[in-house]
Formats: sequence, structure tokens, C-alpha cells
Amino acid sequence: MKRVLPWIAFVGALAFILSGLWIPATHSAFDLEGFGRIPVLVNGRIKPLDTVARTSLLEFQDRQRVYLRDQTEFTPLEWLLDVAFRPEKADTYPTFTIDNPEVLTLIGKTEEDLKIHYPDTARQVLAIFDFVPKIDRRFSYETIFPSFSEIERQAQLAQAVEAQQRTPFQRAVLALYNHLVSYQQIKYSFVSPDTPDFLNELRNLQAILPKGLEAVRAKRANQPHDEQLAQAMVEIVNRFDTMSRFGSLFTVPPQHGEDKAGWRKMGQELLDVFKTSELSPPIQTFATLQKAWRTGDSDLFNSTVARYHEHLLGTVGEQLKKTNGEVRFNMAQPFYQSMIIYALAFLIAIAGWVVWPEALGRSAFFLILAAYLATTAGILTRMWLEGRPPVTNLYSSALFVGWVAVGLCIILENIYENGVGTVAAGALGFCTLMIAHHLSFGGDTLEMMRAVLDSNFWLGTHVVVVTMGYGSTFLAGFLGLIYILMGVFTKWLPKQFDRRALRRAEDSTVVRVPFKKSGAAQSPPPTPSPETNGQAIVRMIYGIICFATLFSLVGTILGGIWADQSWGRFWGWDPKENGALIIVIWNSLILHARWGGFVKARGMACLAVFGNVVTSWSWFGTNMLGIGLHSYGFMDAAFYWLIAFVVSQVVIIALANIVPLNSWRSFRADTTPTNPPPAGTRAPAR
Amino acid sequence: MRNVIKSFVEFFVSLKLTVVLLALSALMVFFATLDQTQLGVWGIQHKWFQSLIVLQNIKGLPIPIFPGGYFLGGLLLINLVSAHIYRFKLSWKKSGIFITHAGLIVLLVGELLSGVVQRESTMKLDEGDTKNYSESTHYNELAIIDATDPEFDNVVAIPDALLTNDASLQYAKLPFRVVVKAFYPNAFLQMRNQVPNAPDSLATMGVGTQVVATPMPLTYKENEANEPAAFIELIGREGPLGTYLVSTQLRPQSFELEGKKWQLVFRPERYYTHYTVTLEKFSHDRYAGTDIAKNFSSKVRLQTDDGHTDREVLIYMNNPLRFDGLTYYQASFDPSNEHNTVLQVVKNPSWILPYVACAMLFTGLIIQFGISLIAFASKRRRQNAHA
Amino acid sequence: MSTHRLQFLLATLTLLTFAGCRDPKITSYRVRKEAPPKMPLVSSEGNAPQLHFKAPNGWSEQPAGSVRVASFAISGTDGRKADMSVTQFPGDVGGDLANVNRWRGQIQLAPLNEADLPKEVHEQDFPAGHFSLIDMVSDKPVIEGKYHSRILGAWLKQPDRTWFFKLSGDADLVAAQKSAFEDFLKSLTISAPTVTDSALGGTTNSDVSTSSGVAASGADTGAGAHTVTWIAPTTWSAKPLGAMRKGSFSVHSDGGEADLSIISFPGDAGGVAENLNRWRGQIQLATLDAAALAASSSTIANGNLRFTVVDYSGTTASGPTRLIGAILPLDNETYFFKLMGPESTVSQNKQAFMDFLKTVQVR
Repeated sequence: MKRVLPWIAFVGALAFILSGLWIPATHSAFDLEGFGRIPVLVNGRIKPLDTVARTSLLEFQDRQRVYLRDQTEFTPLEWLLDVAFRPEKADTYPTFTIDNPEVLTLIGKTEEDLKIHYPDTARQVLAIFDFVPKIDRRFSYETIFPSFSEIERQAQLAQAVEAQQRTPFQRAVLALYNHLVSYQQIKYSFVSPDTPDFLNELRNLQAILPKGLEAVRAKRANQPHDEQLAQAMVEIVNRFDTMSRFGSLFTVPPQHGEDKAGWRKMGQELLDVFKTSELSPPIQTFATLQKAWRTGDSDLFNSTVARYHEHLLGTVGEQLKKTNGEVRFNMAQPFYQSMIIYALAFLIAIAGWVVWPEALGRSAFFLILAAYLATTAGILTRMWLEGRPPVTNLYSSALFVGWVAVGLCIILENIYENGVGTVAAGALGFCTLMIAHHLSFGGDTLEMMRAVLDSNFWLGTHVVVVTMGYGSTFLAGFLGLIYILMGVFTKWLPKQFDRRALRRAEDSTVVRVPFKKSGAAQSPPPTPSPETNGQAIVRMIYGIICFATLFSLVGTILGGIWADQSWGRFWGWDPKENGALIIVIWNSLILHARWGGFVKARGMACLAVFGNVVTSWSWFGTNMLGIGLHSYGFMDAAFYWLIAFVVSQVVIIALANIVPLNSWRSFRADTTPTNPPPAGTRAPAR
Repeated sequence: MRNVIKSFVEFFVSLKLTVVLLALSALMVFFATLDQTQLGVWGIQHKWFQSLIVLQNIKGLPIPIFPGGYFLGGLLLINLVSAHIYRFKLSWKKSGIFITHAGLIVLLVGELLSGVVQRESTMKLDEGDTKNYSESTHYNELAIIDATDPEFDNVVAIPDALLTNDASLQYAKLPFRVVVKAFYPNAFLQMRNQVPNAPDSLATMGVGTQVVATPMPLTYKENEANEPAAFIELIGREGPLGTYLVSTQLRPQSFELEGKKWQLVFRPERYYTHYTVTLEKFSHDRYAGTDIAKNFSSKVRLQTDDGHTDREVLIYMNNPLRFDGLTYYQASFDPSNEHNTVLQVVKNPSWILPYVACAMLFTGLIIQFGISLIAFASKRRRQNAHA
Repeated sequence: MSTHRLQFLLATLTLLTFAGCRDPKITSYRVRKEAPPKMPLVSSEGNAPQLHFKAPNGWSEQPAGSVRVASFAISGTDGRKADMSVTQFPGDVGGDLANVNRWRGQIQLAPLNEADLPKEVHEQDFPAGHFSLIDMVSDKPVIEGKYHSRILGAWLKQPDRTWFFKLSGDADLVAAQKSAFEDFLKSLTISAPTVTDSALGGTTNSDVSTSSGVAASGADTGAGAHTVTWIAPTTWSAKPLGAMRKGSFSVHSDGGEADLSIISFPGDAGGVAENLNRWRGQIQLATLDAAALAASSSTIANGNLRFTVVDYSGTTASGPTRLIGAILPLDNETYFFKLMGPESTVSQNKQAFMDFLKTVQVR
């Protein structure tokens, strides 16, 4: 059983993670996936509409799905289709999150108005503790729009203030304003938003075009003309021009080739109708899709989408490979799924320290392996989509820190096999992916690099190495946490628990191939006990700190060389540079303290835990200062989380020092190490 | 006495000192980073890193609050070097540490040297412009120019550090003394006719008579510059020639003396070279449909005065021009039009030291940790073999 | 023994530290004179007007420089050369006499006085407007000491700028090009690209030959339906434009800094009344009803543009604040000009603001 369980866990986890790929998000007669695969150019990157839908919703409302008050829900693509083709309906969906109370007042709502009244007492109770939402936080465009001019005014005032000096209200109102504007801009990107039957209108335009142009020419030359017709022409031109100015998505691909500059906005394409009298395929497609979506004609919808894909193959076929891949990647959501697996593995591994260590411990380890495979695949896919090394912005740095830390844990677990690696992997994997998830609310995480950062070589070396330094310092810190918490509260540290030895002891009947190195089949008699869990952890911490010192030092130096190549200065005392320097100094301090004998096990653990504080400052704290070359990630709620984290670490360090060592549960005089190595029952030497 | 010396030496070579110094350095860098929001990068460099003691202005009094970069760095260097000389014996086992520490020494010394000899300046060019000098971003100079010759200017440059209140400066090439009546490190200039009840101007000649100069506090914001101004009196052989207001905000002012034409201008410090740089074309690409800069590059023409060099060079991000001991980097451009470039010009003879140091550090650490790792692995194997 | 080395090292290090301190000294050197700085263009514009022309045969187009809008080189026999330049400057650049004398100086002719000017200058109308022309020959052989130089000059005055057309070079060559020069002037059109023009037919513009300046199909650039230009006083310093601003200035005075913003919104942006009340709200004044608003505002005409101008005094967190604003409705957008700041600064600049409104042009 214990042999099979881990493998069941492994396969089960993989299946869970990959489930997103083949279970459709919703059952619909419409070929939503086909629509989602249509590529557009936004912010300098060609991406599928699926990404546009998901990231827009994540930006507006921290969540990908749209839920109405009556519990109906829509997928991101269904929402996008409504925004593009049925805006009057989309305006009623509550998709804009407002948390700031002053902004709520701005739109005329008080917290009282918004209290959710649950019908059953169970949920009322849960609401008090915030397990279910207390108030409505999401509002529809319809609700907000009456106050739009006031929001705009406030946003203009806020815009004039420097970014790092804005109050929370100013940041919130500016964010809301930008979201509303983005939302409007999407509407102008596909069809003219105020026309229910755009296709019909376009056909009419084609019909009257020759006469209309004549009328305009005549008017210009001050000759008799059909005034109404001329006016109508001008009005249509103005509408198309508005679309080309306000639309944010470049929906029309170039005729041939991969040149990004060839992409145009729908408005520009529509203006060309006046020149060519023809409705080009993109115009026809989206106008027809509007008709199909509004009338519920799924057959028309699907056939239009299919035909458009054929057209795309002929024009931007090269790009389609990546955009199709991106859609599958979005569907799989490997990071979100892995996050759940990591949490599960963490709990099972902890349980494994209490009962069934062999079965649960190895199962947890295999779960970690499955999640690790998924995150690796996810990171590699992102690299392929972006054409860049793995770390390009704060979001990807979070993913990579987790990947490095979990990778090291897997190695540790392989060496020591005492569950510590698994527990650490689960916790670190979960935390980093959770951080990454929150960072994804800022918008599309696959973004273009600014000119000064545009160097794959340095991105691949300096950034990756420094991030590995961060990841390993966090790992050492977490191991320190395990040491202190397990030492103070449990009897686990002095246990001499070497699973490998135990397993061999239980499998004494199985003949194992002798270890090749010595060549001798005989072994010397068994030597006294292997190390305790506590000793093992301290050794792990030391090894990881060595690794961290090496990588953070090399990474920092590579950064200096990059700076020297780019702007002639090896070291500029930038906050992020300083943060990295502090990490290097701290890690080397730990090593020197150990070599000098100034700290023993407890001291090492405390110093390592403080390394967590130092690294979180360098990774996030420096961004919050808002100055220097590295200020590219500004977060608000994150500040409080950072403070909370730092306080928690300091409390644990204090705990370790205030409680005298001989009062630690693990080191109390009455505690005898359990599971002493059974003498003489060991298997023949490998 | 011997005991005193011995304890002195033991203090400097002790590992405890290393640990304490490392902790203090980490704190120093942290506090300096926080202070950067107030003082900007240059401010903290002078206050925290290029000083022996960090002085903080509390209610007008400078109070020492922390040891400065030179102090901690210097002590660390001494500690490192003396520990090696005193304690370490050469052995293969410790070779990794030796090389690492040697690399560290080279790095620290290199950075110290850089701080002293490095010189950064900028060169702003519009398309078609030719310049043979770059301008400092932090230091200004009062240039007194003998512009009599139709082709050449004879320039006497007085660094602004010498322009303290009541300073009297004399130089062999000037037929007059320069007396500083007032110096404002940052000043706000306005036309006199827009300021009611302005006090009489200290200036008696030139534009200064029409201008009111109000001293302002220094700014440390990154996108703001300090605009200094000074009232200077020129005293010739036969008496005062007049008091002029000079400022980085004013154009050159001229006067004649004994048949020679003179000009006074207060400007960023200039570093002349014996070659010229001409901007032929500036290219700025953006990502399609956005304003995000994808790359920018400057095509410049380099011509030496003696005619030996005359070539075109493309300077772009991560690809500087190195010529004659100076390095030209594509820094940025003035966004008001797309036909200009701003190049960063760096003179740093000790530029190679960090590279050498990095190679040494990397090698040393790999060796040291490699040795440890092998030892650990073989011990583990032995343990498992015995189990 | 090791302590000696230690002391030696200590000494060296201390020396190193102090040796490196910057020691400011007066220096002197000799350099070649610099070229004088280029004349800055003072006005801030939305889009520059475009020049279209038909270049005669034999005129080879040169790249335009930072001041030249168009440039041609003409070569004749025996290596003779002439140069044709088209430049434009804001305002009237000192007036006719000053410019003619500037040209005269370039071929070493004595300057004219005001009375003689009308004799030399002759006026002619071309499709692009009313031009003044002049033909001047040098009285000394100024080209290489052997040949005379001739300038055929013309200028076109527009409300906010003056265009200069100068054909200069070898006297005989230039004389032979006189009819080509006039044909060139005849072919000129000066316009700003509008979307309606370009979308509905490029035939409204004159023939654009391959050597023309910039094509007028501005549809891809999404140019605005209107090009609005103005000339700001030199005492107002231009600020970088913000997200919604078409123009942005900072007006200094000892009372403090005032801000002048120029913003455009599509359509009527809610209407004049709503926007006046929005402004009132910004300086903590109560909103007024339509009648009261009408009473508080005045209308100023500038050509066929109608500005609704208001002058309000209120307060903000920084003290007494005055707001002078003008709203200019155009057919599909509305322009807002707002000067807001401390009471004294704004009152000192009120006249400048009114003059500024008079320089606003819409194409």
C-alpha cells in the first residue's frame, strides 16, 4: 500500500492540474474557444482575445469569472463578447471592484447600502468573521456611470500629484477611472458600439457610398448637393474616427507577415471602406459575430469564427502558434492548480510526522513532484510565449523564487528523507504562488520590456541568479522557522528519524546491490546513530546559506556589470541594489558567525529567519519606496502584508531567545529521543 | 606596552570584529536607502557612504548618528587584510577563502578608487549639432572668457566650490580680481518689474540690474535641478569694474576692457576633448501601438582635431562607444522632440577592477563551497555505507 | 614583525583615503568658438501645418534641416549653384524691412530704409495667399570674388507665422530660374490634415508630386479633427503635458505659481453650464443655475470662434484662488483653457491670458 499510494497521489495530482485543459469552462453552443483564439495586438504584444478577457477582468475585479447577484455566472469570454457586441447588457454586470470607502461615497453608496443580507443564520455568522463577503464590493458600469464626471475630475486632480505621494483615496480613484476608461476602450475596438445591427449599417453604407462621396465633393466645391447625404457621410466618418482614437485593441491583422506595425485598429480599417468600398474580412467577421451573438445564432457564430481562422492562417499564421498555445496555457492555469497541490502536500507531510510517516511522507513528496513539474512547464511556456528568460517582472520573479526554493527542497528531501524538505516545499510553493496570484491583478503579466531592460543575456543571467539567491535565502529562513517552532513546541528535534534507514530496516529481506564504490561486499559493523532531525536541519541551513551566499553575491555582481555596460556605473546605490547588497552581507555574516563559533544551532536558526526579513525587504520593500531605477511594482495592501510578515518573523526569533534552550520541548531533560536506531537489525551494507 | 600593542592587533584581526562590522554595514545601507527618499542618490552618497561619520541635522545642529561608509569600509578592509597577514597560513584547503577575500579586497579598493577618479557627465546633442565637450550634472563653473580672437576663446574656469561668500579670487590670466559678493546654491530669478518692492540689486552691470535673485533651499528631487546664482564684483587695476549677476539660468554677459572682449557665464562644468562628436541621426522605436520605448540609438560622427579619425558610430542601449579613455552611453533624450539625444559620458580608469574582482570572487567561492560540498557528500556516503 | 606590516598598511590606506579628495582649482584653456545656439520656436502647437508644392524640373530636393521646411539645390553650367530654402517662423520675425535688410546683408548690399521699401517689394497673389516678392542683385562680386550673387525672395504672412522662400546663388542662374520660382509659389498649398478630407477623397488637395513634403492621408495617425494652435507669452514656461492636456504652462509670480491648462474633450463634454459649475466646485464655490451662470460669464469673439469666459474667485487648501477660464465649443469637441492659481499671480496675468486667447487659431 505504501508503495502504491505515492504513485496514486502523483497521477491524481497531475490529472487535477491538467484538468483545466480538457474540461471546458462552460457548456455553450457557441464556439467560445475559437473566439478566444483570435489574436489582437495590445500594449505591443500579440495576444489571444482569451488573455484580453481574463486579464481585463482580473484588473477590474480581482477575479476572472463574472457573477451576477442572482448567482448566474459568465466566463471571461462570454463577458468580452457582451462588452463588444451587447454593451447594454455588459454594462449591468458588476465587474468593477471598489474597496475604498471614500470612493464608495463618490458614487453615492454607503457601507450600509451594500451590506449583503443573507437569508440563513449560518452565513450571517460566517459573514461576521469575513469568511463570506460582508458587503458588495463589485459594481456595474451602469451604477458607476452617473458619477463619471466627478470621478474624472478627482482622477485628474490625483494625476497631478506624484505617484508615491498619493493618498489611498487618490490611488483608488485613479485606478477606478483607468479601469472605466479601459472598459470603454474595449467597446470601441470591434464594432461601433451604439449600433445594434452594425452589419446592416455597413451594407447600407456600401450601397450609398458612391452617391455619398459625390455629395461631399459637391458640397466642398460649393455646388448643389444632397445636404442630408453629405451630413450622414460626415457623421459616419466621425464615428469611425472616434473608434480609431478610442479603441485600445488593434484588432485588424496586417495583410502579410509578422510586422507588428502593420496591425490596425478597427476604426482605421473602417475608414478605409470609404476608399475601397469593400468590407474587408475582419470588418465582416466582427460585424457578423455581433449579429450572431445578439440573435443567439450559434451556427452563424461558429461558422464565422471558423472562416476567420482560415483567413488568419493565411495572413498571420506564424503568430497563431503562440496565441493558440497561450489559450491552452490560460485554460490550464497551472500555477493556480499547483498552489492547491502544494497546500495539500504541506498538510499531508505535516500529518506524516505524526502517523504513517512512510506512506504519507512519500505521498506528500510525490505530490510536490507533480506540482513542481506543472510549475516548471508553466514557467517554460511563459518563456516560450514571451521569448525571454524566466524572470522579467515582479510576477515572474515570484514564480521563479518559488521554483528555486521548491527545487532545492526536493534535493534536500532526496538526501535526508525526513519530511523536512517536503514541508518546506509545500509551504514555500504555496506562499510564492499566492503572492504571484495577487500580483497578477495588475494586468497582463506577459508584458513588453522597456528599452533599458531589453537584453536577454542580462535578464537571463543577473536576474535569474539574483532570484535564485532570494529563493534560497527564503528556504534557509523557512528551515530556521521549522527548527524553532518544532523545537519549542514539539519533541521532534532530537528524533533520529532517517526514513531511509527505517525502510532498509523493514526491508531487510530484500537483497540490495552492494554500493559500488568500495567494491567490497562486506561492511564494517554498524556505527552509532545518524544525526537527529535537529542536526540535520542545521546542516541543511548551513548548506543552503552557502548556496545563497554564492548566488546572491554573483547575481549582485552581474547586476553591477550590467549597469556598467549600460550606463557606465558599476554601483549606483539604487534601493534594489542596496537591498541585494544587504542580503549578501547578511548571508556572509551568518557564515562568519558560524565559523567564529559565535552561534550554535539556535543562533543559526534565528539568523536564518532574520534573513527572511532582509530578503522580503529587498524583494518588495524597495519597490514600495517608489524611487530609483527599480521602482516598477507599486502595491498598496502589500505593504500591510509585508509588515505583518516581518513582525511574525521577529516574534518567532524573540520566542526562540526568550524561551531558554532547556525549556524547549525538544530539549527538556525529561525528553528522551524516541525511535533509537535498532541495533543489529540493519540490512547489509549497500 | 607589548600587551597594549598585542590587544590592539588582536582587536583588528578578530572575527568578532568582522561580524560586528558586517552587521553595522547592513544597517548603514538600510538606513541610507530609507534616507534616499529625502535626499536622493547623490545626497546619500555624500552623507552616508563617502564620509567617516554620518551627520544628521537635528534642529540645526549636525549630530553624528552612525559611522560612515569610509569608516566601516576602511575598518573592514583593515580587518580583512590584517587577518590574512596575521592568521592565515597558505594551504590548499583554504585557497578558496583566500581567493574570495582577495577578490573582495580588489572590489572594495576598486570602488574606492572609482569614487575618487570617476567622472560622469552628459552630452546633449540635437541632430546636426557638433560638440567637443560634455557637461557635468553636479558641478558648475564660472567661465570668464576672453573672446577677442575671432576664432578662439581663452577660458578661465572657476569651479563653483571656490565661489564662497566673500571669496576673493585671483588668477594670472585675468587682469582683474573676482570677489564673490553673494553666492546662492539655488536661486529663483525674476524680472524686477514683476516684483513690487524689490530690494536694490547688488548688480551694477549687465542683466543683473533688471533681475531679482531670491535664494531657495536646495532640492534633492530626482527630476529637479538646483540653479545656482552669484553676485560677483570684478576689481581691475584702477578700481571696481562693476558687479554682475551670474547664474545657470542666464545667458553669457559681455563687457570690454582695455580693448579686449570678455564674457561671463555660469554654466555646468565642461570637460573638453580633442575630438568632436556630431549627432547625425537619432532613432527612437516604440512597441507597436504604445508609448513604451523599445530601443533608442544615436548615429554619431567622431572626428579628431588632427584629422586621423573620422568615422561614424552607432551608440545604443547596452552598446557604448569607448574612445580615448572615455565611454559614451546612450542615456536618454529630451522628449519634447524626437531629434536629439542625451549621452552619458563616463571617465573611469579603474573600470576593469570590478570585473577582475568578480572573477576572483566567483572562483574563490566555487572552490571553497565545492570543497565543502565534496566533503559533505563523501561523509554522507560513508554514513549511509555504515548504516 | 606582523605588527609592523600592519602599521605600514594602515598608513598607506589612510593616505589613499585623503589623497583622493577632490581639490577644486581654477583652470584655463583655449578652445575654438562655438556655433551660436539655434533660435527656439516659442509657440506650442498641436500639429504643424503641412506644406505641399510641386517642385520644378532641375530642383533637387535636399533633406530639410531643423529650421528649413524644404530645401532644394539647383546646379547650372560651369559649376554654378543656387540654393532654394523654405522656412517658417512664428509671428512676423521683426517685420518686412528687417527681413529684407537681413537678406541684403547676406549679399553685402547696403540696407534700405523704410521709405524705399515699397519700391523694391512687389505684391502678388497666389493660390496659397498674398505674397510679397523681391529681387536683389549684389553690387559686388561676392561669390569667390568673381561672380555676383542674386536673391529672389518671397514671403507669405499668416496670422501666426511667416513663410520665407529664398532662392539665392549665382546671379545669372537665379535670373534664369525666375519663372520656375514663380511656378513653385503658384503650386503651394498650406493646410493641416483633417480626417474628413483624407477619408472622403484626396482630390481636395492640389496635385501632390513625388517630391512633395508630407502626404495628407493622416488617417493612420488618427489625427484630431481640429488642429488648434496658440502663441504663449515667453514668461509662461511650458510644462510637460499630462495625460489629458493638450497644452500646459506654469505661470510664475511672487504670489506663487499658477497653472494654465488646455484640455479638449469630445462632444460637448456635458455642456457649458455643467463645466462652469465643475470649475466653481474646484475653488469651493457654490453651483449656480443656468441664469446665474449666464450672468457670470461673458463671450469673447476671435474671428469666427466664440469663447465663453469666466473669472471666479474662491479658495482652495492653499489659500485664495482665482480661476479665469474660457470654453471654446467646436463641432465635435470642446476646448477648455483654464488659468488657476493664487489670486495675485492670476490677476497679474489676466491681460496676458486674454491676449493669449486672441492668438488661438483653429484649422
